[in-house]
Amino acid sequence: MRDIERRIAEWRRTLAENAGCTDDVLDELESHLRDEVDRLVQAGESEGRALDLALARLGTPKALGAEFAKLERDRAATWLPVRLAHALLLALAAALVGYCVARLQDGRSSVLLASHVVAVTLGYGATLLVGGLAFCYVAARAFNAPRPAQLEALTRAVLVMTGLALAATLLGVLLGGVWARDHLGRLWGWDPKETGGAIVLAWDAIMILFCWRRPSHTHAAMLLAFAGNAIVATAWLGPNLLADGLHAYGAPGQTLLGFVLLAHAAMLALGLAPAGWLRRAAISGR
Amino acid sequence: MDRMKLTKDLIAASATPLILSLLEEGESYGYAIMRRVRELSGGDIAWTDGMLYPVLHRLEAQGLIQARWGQSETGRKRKYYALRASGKKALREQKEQWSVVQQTLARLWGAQHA
Repeated sequence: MRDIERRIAEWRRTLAENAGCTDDVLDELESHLRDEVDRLVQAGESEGRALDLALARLGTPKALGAEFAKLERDRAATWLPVRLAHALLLALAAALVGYCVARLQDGRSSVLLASHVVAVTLGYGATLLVGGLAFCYVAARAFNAPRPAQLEALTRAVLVMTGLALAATLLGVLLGGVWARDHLGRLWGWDPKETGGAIVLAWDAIMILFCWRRPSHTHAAMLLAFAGNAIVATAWLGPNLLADGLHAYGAPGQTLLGFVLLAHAAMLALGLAPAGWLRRAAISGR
Repeated sequence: MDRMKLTKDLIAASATPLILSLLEEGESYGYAIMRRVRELSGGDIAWTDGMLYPVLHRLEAQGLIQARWGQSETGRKRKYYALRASGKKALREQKEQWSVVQQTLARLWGAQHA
């Protein structure tokens, strides 16, 4: 009996060292091993022989380690659109900084206003990129149900990017407030664009809470991201369409905004269809 | 007759529907799942015991099943798995997909033997 215990303890040590198994995994494997030893002993085997057989059936530490390592690799794997979104976010940040530095050098902007523009645009841009991921997700899902590793990578990216969006938008809104205090004599005035900024902030906070508390509900998070995009598009382009206000530039954005909102409604409807519906439709139509 | 041996690919592909289907019957644990699969298949589906656990952990990470530590009838620590709502949905999809494969092969082989 003591020999069995010593061998099991040794086996655990080998697995922990060579296969990198956690205590949780080791406990579970040991429970399995002991169940098998019990069964073999009841079937008439000696304890030592039963342990030999049970260990052989469980697999070598090397083979077990390789399987658990695959699991870790899958978890760390990143889906291509997620990598693209990260790259786009970096490119956007670099372009914004470059643009503002050029304006500062020309003397066409103050540091405060330039920082406000960089932070708000980066915050809105990050929220829009999360919506962009939702587009990729819905389009890919129409052909094939997403792989678990893709879903995990997507949830992680949505959390990180929405967190960044919240922080950047908050900073941008605060900087805008300070600029407005210095130049307009007030910190906050519920101007349409300011109201839009506050709504985007609230939206990012809701999205983070949802992803944080429901990490396995990636599908719902992606459908919500369409709403996020619609909110940012309205907050960004909407005030420009108004006759007056701080950011009424008279930009011809009505058609653009209408198109953006329509595209989002269409993608949201596609996201409600079952996974792989397009592939199935193509197969049955042949 | 030689014992039929399933290919590694087929064993890997069938692991998820087998595990989800067994958990549909109720909560279970790794050893019992493995024994039941071996018994139902008449010994033809014989996983290397340890390989079952990475699959279970992957299904857990996917949110299809949930795990809890409990005790065996002899008081030993044991990890139990149960199907979640998303797992039931995934199982329905798996059933559809495997039915398509099964029916297609049956039609094909039926036509060849007719």
